[in-house]
Amino acid sequence: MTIHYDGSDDRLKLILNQKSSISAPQEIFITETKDIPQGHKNGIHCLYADMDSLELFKSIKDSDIRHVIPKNREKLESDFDFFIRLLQQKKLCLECFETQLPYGAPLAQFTFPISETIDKIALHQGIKDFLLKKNINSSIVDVVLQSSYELVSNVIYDAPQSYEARFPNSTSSQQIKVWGKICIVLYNEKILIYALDHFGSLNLDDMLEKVVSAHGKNSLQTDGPVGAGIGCKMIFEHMSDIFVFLEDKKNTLVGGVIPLNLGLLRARSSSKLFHFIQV
Amino acid sequence: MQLASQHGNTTKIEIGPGYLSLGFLTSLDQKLFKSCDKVEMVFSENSMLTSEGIVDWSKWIHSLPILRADQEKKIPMIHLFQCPVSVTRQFDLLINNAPENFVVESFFVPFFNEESNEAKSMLLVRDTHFTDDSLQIPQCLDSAGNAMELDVVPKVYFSFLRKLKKFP
Repeated sequence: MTIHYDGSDDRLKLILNQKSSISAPQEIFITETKDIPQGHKNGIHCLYADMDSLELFKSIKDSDIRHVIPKNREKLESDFDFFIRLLQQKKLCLECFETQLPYGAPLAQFTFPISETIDKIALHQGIKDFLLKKNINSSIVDVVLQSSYELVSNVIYDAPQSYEARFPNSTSSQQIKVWGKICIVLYNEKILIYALDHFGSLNLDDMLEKVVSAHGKNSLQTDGPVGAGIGCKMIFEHMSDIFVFLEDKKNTLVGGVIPLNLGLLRARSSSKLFHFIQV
Repeated sequence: MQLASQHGNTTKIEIGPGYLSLGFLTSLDQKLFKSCDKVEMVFSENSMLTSEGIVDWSKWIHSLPILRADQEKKIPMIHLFQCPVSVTRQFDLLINNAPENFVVESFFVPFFNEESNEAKSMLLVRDTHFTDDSLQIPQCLDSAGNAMELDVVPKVYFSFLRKLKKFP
C-alpha cells in the first residue's frame, strides 16, 4: 500500500514517513484540494484541509473524497492513525471507537423502536439525566439532546419503507433488527454520540445533497418536507468529528464528536474531520 | 405543554419546556388567529427547536392568512417572547417568510467562559437591550465573577435585527 501526498505540509510529510510501513487495503491519495488527479480514481481519497461543515459537505458531494483530515488540529498524528485504523477494519467501525476511548469512559446507551410512535421525549430524558449527573454545562446538554433527537429521527425517517414487510412474522432474533441504538460516551473533554441501526441502507450521496441544500435555505417556501437535511445540518455544525459508517444491508452508524471545552461558537467554526467508511 | 388563549384582540400561545414539536399550532382553531390583531407567542428558555419543529412552524405559517394575499384579512402581528437560543439561531428559517409580521420582543443570548468552562444564557428585552436598529449587550459574568464571552457569531445571530448596522 502506498500513501500519495504531493502537498508541501512538512508536518504531514513527517508523519507519513513514519507510517510508511503500515498496511491498508488500497492506495491512499491525500490532496489539499478536492480536485483528484487523473489516474487516481481507484483508491481512497482524503482531503487534507480546514473546512467548516458547509465547505466540507460541498467538497465531498459529487466527488470521490470520503475522508477529510483538518490541518490545524493539535493531534494530527492521532487523527491520521485513527484514519488508518478505520481503513483496516473489515466490520463496522465500533472497534475503532473503542480504541480511542479510555478504559471506563462514562457511557450511556439506549435502544429505541424504529417507529413513528416512539416516545422521543422519554428516550431523551434518560440522556439528559446522564449528562446532568456528569456536570455537563447546559448549552452542551442542549446540543447533545438536539443531536440525539435528530439522529433518532433520521434513523426512523431513513428506515426502508419495506422493513416491516421484510419481517412479517419476525422471530425474536429478527425483531431486534427494528430497534436502533443511540450511544453517548464522555472522554477527554469530548462527547461521542452516534446512532446505530441494522438496515445498512443509508445513501451517502442523498444525505450530502440534502445537507448542502439545507445550508442554502433561508426560508421554507412550502410545507417543508421532513427529511430535508435540516436536522443533519443542525447536528453536524456542532461536531468537530463526523462519522458515517455503512455495512451494506447490515448496519449504519452516524455520529460524531462534540468538544466540551470550546463553547458552541468555536465548536461550530472548528475545522471538521470526516470519515465515511463502507464495508 | 402548550396553552393557547384569547384575550380581547390578542391570542396568546405559551410553549412549555422540552422539544418544540410545533405540530399543535396547525391543529389550533384557526379562529384564534383569524379574529385577532396580535399573536403573542411565549417560549420557555428550556424549549428546544428540532428540525421537525421547523417544518411544523413552516406549515403553520403557510396556513395563516399573513402569507395569503388573496384573503381580505388584516394581518395579525406575531410577537415572540423569550425565544430560546435554539429558536433564535433559526430565525432565518422561521421568520424570513414574513419578517414584517414578526416582532421579536425578547430572546436569549448564549455566553461562554473557556477557563471556567461555564455556559450561561441571558435574556435581552426589546427597548431595554435592543431595538430594530440598536443593540446593547450587558456584561455577563460567570459564577466566579469573570466576564463571559458571546458564544455566537454576532453578525449571524443578530441578523434578524435588520436595521442594525454595527454588530458587537
